[in-house]
Amino acid sequence: MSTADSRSAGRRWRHLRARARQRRRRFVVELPLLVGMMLVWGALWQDYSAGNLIFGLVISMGIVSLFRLPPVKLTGRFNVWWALVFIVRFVGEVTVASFQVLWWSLRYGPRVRSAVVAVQLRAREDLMMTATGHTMTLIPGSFVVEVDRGTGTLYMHVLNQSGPDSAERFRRHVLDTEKLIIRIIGTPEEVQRVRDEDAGRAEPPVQPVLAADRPRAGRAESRASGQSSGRGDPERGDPGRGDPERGDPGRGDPGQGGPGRKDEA
Amino acid sequence: MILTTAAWIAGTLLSLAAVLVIVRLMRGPSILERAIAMDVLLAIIMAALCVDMAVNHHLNHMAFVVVACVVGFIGTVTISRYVTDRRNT
Amino acid sequence: MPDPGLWATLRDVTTAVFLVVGSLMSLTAAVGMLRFPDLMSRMHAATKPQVLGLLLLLGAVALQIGSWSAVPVLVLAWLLQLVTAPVSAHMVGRAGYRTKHLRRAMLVNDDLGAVVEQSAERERGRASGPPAREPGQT
Repeated sequence: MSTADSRSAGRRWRHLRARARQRRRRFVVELPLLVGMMLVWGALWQDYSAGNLIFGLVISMGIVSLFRLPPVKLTGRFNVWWALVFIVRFVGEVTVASFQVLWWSLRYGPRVRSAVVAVQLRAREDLMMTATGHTMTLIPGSFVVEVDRGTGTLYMHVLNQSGPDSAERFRRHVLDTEKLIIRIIGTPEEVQRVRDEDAGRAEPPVQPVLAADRPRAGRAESRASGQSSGRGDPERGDPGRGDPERGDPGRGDPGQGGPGRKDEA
Repeated sequence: MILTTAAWIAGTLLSLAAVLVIVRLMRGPSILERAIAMDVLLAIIMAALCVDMAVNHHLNHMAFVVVACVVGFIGTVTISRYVTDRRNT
Repeated sequence: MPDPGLWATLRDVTTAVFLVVGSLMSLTAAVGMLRFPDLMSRMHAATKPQVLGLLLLLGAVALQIGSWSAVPVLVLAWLLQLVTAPVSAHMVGRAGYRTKHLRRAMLVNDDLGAVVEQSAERERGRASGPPAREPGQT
């Protein structure tokens, strides 16, 4: 009797401990967000006194508990040196590209040609894909039209393209940007892969065949096969990913897996 | 002195930009073009406020600049979502 | 700082350059909006040069205010723009692509066309015909 009591009490105690631990872990996960929001509050008032900051902390805790969001899975890594490299490179690229857009708008104007290019990334997590797509969108001359989360593909609209050569150059640019972001916040496996690539022991991800390069007949055929059987599950990676022979129609459907549809659920 | 000159040049550039954007706003064939034209117009207003703050050494418009960023964003996203959804259903 | 007067002049000259170039970026956006041929290429001109433009203008404000307490709110304004501009660009671009606002003749390459067409076909089939087989569920 007493042993059963103590056992159930022990179980309850363990249960409470586990819940407290869970709550503490969630608090640790959300701590950077809370501190960030507190600093935003301080910046908005331009007042960094303790009272104002504590009030900001209270407000941000209220917001975090009222509007619950799934926590962002960080990798726990942050490389300060590569972050500095990234910032310098980013500002430089934005500057150069801004003047390029000015030049193109004056020089070509209505005759400018663009392209939609699919880029196969190395990483498949939401965080890395978002960071890469976001950075590329901020640099003038390219923006993300569609995302395929299942296969890790970004479909980007690129300004002033002339053909396959410029598409290849653009893809290399995106992959370089991703490489830099992986070096800052990527998982250790991704970092290892990037190192292997630099040492020549691994290849960058295989890119899908450009639509412009694909023969018309083959395109129609692959579309038909894609409709009957070749479709994989759009959310989880499908076995045909990165296989250039099967091309885009075999991939997941960005209309379903894209960020625009997700939040309707 | 040099600041006043710069402010005049910047003001001219910004006014010209606003006129061009308003032309696009009137001509824009679709609602999406008008939405981004409004976004650009808002950005030009923000730029004008920044010029004023720099020349007259104050921070009074900072709250407006911060809020305008967010409001313009919400407006554009709402319009584009509305356009996409109407086609899909 | 050998001479405070020289320092002030240098600061004013930098501010002036920032102001003019920052406004030039707004003009870039406007010219691009007017001259580019379709919605998608106009998007490039509309949203992106403003990132650099606002950075330069906020830098000019920071130089003229000349105190560190003003910097956080300026950084905040720029970061907010960094976060919001790509999202609205993506939303508008996606809506434009789906509603056929882009002119195909302006594209030299379109990797997405086949994918979107296919998903639209499937949606049509689901709406009218017998219930289509869900991909990946059977």
